Amino acid sequence: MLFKSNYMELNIITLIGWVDQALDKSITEQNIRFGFRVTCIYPLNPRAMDNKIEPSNIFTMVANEHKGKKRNQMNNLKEMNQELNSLLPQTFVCTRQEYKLGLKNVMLATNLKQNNATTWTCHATLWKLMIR
Amino acid sequence: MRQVFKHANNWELRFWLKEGQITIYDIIPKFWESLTINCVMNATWDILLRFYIFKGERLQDDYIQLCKPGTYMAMQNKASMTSFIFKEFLSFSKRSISGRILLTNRHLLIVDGHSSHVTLEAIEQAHEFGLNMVTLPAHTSHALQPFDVSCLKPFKTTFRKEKDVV
Repeated sequence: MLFKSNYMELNIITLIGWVDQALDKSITEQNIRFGFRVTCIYPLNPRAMDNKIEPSNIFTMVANEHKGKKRNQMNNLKEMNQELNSLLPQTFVCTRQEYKLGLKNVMLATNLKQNNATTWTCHATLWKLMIR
Repeated sequence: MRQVFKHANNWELRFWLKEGQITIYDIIPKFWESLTINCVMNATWDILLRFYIFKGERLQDDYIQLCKPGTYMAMQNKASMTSFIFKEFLSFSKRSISGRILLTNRHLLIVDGHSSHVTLEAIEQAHEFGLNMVTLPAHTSHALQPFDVSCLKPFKTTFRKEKDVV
């Protein structure tokens, strides 16, 4: 066999020895200090998670003006959100369940006119981008 | 490239190798066991405690013989944390920092929101030991727990290196 010279039997004992040595080398002073600083525990920042987390069941939608843009032009989600916020009177927010229910229920929820119904077509691509 | 070897005890060891690759990253036996690792880190930059939970029923002290002094272990059927084991874990943690805790000088312990951590008996016992427990909000451990953020990736890399040396 090829690996016969390097063969060794794996025990729990040897495996725990590796784990213990790896813990010694990985949990150093610098790493612990870095961890407490990045998580904003010390120095304490109670608003640390405000920008990192967003509810998963909400997405935004854009009007017809966004239709001409390609995906490559909107690489950054932050830039896209800024663009979305600039178009606030023409955008609206709805949950994912409302998306699944269909157009009529969304129309009822957001009091849209029927003329804006064509905006739904371009949102499938945007929706995939936002879910990421 | 995939090669399969058979051990005397009917262990199947599978090796996935590319051409020119020396080290082995994946060893997948036929029967594999799980293990949980619990660590307590201090804000004064020191490890206070290491605590392993193995799979099994009867306690065997031989498992820790290669580890450093100061590690603790427990056995459980599914190798998972339970409320009974967490109370022992609190007593171990009190033993490791016994000199510094006073009634006026209390310590803060940050844990997950796991169901075994939140029982009333555990919180009362922690209060007796001089520990104030704080649980993180749900689904935020990837950003708020210091071990997950800073120490988990170097742990994996060093573990792989030590596996390669053998």
